[in-house]
Amino acid sequence: MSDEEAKVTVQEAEKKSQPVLKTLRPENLSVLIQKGLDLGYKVFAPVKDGELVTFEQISGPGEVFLEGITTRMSPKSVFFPRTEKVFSYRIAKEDIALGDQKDFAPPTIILGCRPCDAASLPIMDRLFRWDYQDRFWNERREATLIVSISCLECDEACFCTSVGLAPDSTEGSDILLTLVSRDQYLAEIMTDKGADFVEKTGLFDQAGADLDKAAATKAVRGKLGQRFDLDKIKPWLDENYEHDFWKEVTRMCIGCGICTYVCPTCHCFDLVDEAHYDGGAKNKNWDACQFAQFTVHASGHNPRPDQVSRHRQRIMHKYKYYPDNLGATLCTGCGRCVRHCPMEVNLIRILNGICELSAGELPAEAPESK
Amino acid sequence: MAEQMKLEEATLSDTGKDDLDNIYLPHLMVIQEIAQETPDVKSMKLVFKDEEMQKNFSFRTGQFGEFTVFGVGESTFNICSSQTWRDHIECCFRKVGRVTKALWEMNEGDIIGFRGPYGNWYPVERMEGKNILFIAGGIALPPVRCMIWHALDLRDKFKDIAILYGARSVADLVFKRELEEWEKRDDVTVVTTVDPGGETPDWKGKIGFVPTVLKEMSPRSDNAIALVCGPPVMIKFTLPVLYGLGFAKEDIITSLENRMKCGVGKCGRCNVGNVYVCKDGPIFTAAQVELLPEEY
Ligand SMILES: Cc1cc2nc3c(=O)[nH]c(=O)nc-3n(C[C@H](O)[C@H](O)[C@H](O)COP(=O)(O)OP(=O)(O)OC[C@H]3O[C@@H](n4cnc5c(N)ncnc54)[C@H](O)[C@@H]3O)c2cc1C
Ligand code: SF4
Ligand code: SF4
Ligand code: FES
Repeated sequence: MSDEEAKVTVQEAEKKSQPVLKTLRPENLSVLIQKGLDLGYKVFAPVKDGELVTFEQISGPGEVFLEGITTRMSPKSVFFPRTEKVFSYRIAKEDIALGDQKDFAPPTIILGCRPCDAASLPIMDRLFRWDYQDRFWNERREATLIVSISCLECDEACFCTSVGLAPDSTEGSDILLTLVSRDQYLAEIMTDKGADFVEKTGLFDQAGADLDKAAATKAVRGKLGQRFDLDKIKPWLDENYEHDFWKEVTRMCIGCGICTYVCPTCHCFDLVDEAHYDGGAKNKNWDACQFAQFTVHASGHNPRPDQVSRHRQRIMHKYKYYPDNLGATLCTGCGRCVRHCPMEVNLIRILNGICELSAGELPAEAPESK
Repeated sequence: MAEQMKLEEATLSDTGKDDLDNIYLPHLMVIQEIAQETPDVKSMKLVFKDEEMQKNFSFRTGQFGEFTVFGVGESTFNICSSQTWRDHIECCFRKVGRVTKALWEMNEGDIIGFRGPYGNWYPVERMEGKNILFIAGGIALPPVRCMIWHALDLRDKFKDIAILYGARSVADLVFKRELEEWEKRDDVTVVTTVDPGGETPDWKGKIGFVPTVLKEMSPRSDNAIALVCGPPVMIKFTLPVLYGLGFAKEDIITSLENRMKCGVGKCGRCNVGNVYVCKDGPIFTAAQVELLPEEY
């Protein structure tokens, strides 16, 4: 497979040339969820547990909670669980028998994820489909239908509009629902997979030409505004691996790794053996570049010996290395790292700081020579 | 040793990348022979449990593998045998952590897991027709040794071959029997050295650090390529000596040892700047290393 082909994401391969527009009545959303369950899909949706809203596997539409802003954790764990067995082994006399994993990608629906989470999926496809194929991610992606819902609310941590996305962007969704009036979702059907499902449920109506998605999300777009200028970030990062700024902005970071666990696009993992008396398994576990142990050599030498270098790595990876290697920014502006950092390390403030530095250091426009 | 090898040149159309569906699933290998090299270094000869697999397995000199001790963990080692040997592969490791301790305890006939071959390989085509200077320090002889055997097996493709190998003490020299074998040959120059204080009464090699001995050797840099592997401090002080001798940065080849897990560009661990050491490396020229942030 050529690199170009490898970079074709699941969505791109199945994408319709023109989205098909339909409508869905809000009261039919529950019926849709039940249909999904009846058709044998595993369904994951936001569920409220006290103050927390998280993605859980549901067994009925009553469990789903679609209000408010996005969930605490992203749905990445559906494709990339916190821990999963990648093979097992058994010891028999002097011999070892390996057991491969099977049936790990059942037909699944993710319902009610936000556009920023849907957008994270094709970004991550680039990595898991790059050269060597990670079948655990890839096969689950192929077996999963993404029905997302446009945001009509945001908080001060959200910044999708600053990384080229929007509260109603369709990237990564098979079907995007936008509540355009009190009694109507506009359904943008983006892929064949989405169209098949719409057909099977029989719940969608033909859309009239008068439906205006932009009007519905105008207020939230206004609130989001533009929190920094993405075009200024990478050029500055290209030149400023060494800069006192890094010390300044990462001073508060305690390296707890929360920002990476809540992030829909962080994907670092560890491979760890687990042993029982007559066998065991290899597990693929979430890991984080924020931990000192992540890079330490057996000799004790650590190439990223302090939190400054580890935090710089997180930002460099998202805003420079990943774009350079795989052609996409590894951040969808979901705001989780900003919202949940116990030390108030704030990515928006950091990226804003970079814009300010870049404005101070580089003339915005080279002066015309006369 | 040399007699056991198949000397025909491996004609490989690819990197030997295997087509397993599950990139994390290892192949089973049997430990055929174990040699204790130093008080804390062992080398192992390994064959695939599946004979067909052994027959079809191919790799390029300089690539690495992920070696599993089942129930304990996985470690990254260079495949320290040459691609010209087809009936087994070898690895050589120092006992430093959990996995390497467990591997240390294993016996001939035991089974381990292997994933690979991964990473890039020595730029053999560029090295052919040139004088080759091999420089290694301590446990870093294995990743150089594979290329030494490659060059010796296909001796007439290369011009002068010189080897400079240093260790802390005589006891820390690995592959001693092979060093003796190379010393006996008249088509290769071998210089061994130990750090001051590391010599024994009957030590016949040099006494001094690698960079100092290299300066004394003062090998010619025209039409030459230097291959340098060793601890970071050794590399740091050896490079200026090579530059002083006239070696261009493009003609100095080294290998990075960033911590790895997946070996296939997924887990993020070996990412340094725009490079994934497991995919783009581990072999780089000094010129390429210079462009990286200092995170290795
Ligand atoms: C491309 C490449 C090629 C390599 N080739 C070779 C090779 O040919 N031969 C070779 O010997 N090594 C090689 N290495 C290094 C080798 O991978 C590590 O030395 C080895 O994996 C670490 O040993 P372990 O798995 O037993 O450690 P683990 O048990 O996995 O330990 C994990 C970490 O815990 C820490 N740790 C555990 N125990 C100790 C301890 N006793 N003291 C200090 N820290 C400890 C270390 O930080 C260590 O990194 C290579 C590395 C790379 C990237
Ligand atoms: S930025 Fe915040 S959440 Fe992330 S590791 Fe540092 S302290 Fe933890
Ligand atoms: S880096 Fe922060 S804002 Fe960006 S995707 Fe990750 S959690 Fe969301
Ligand atoms: S070792 Fe996992 S990305 Fe290189």
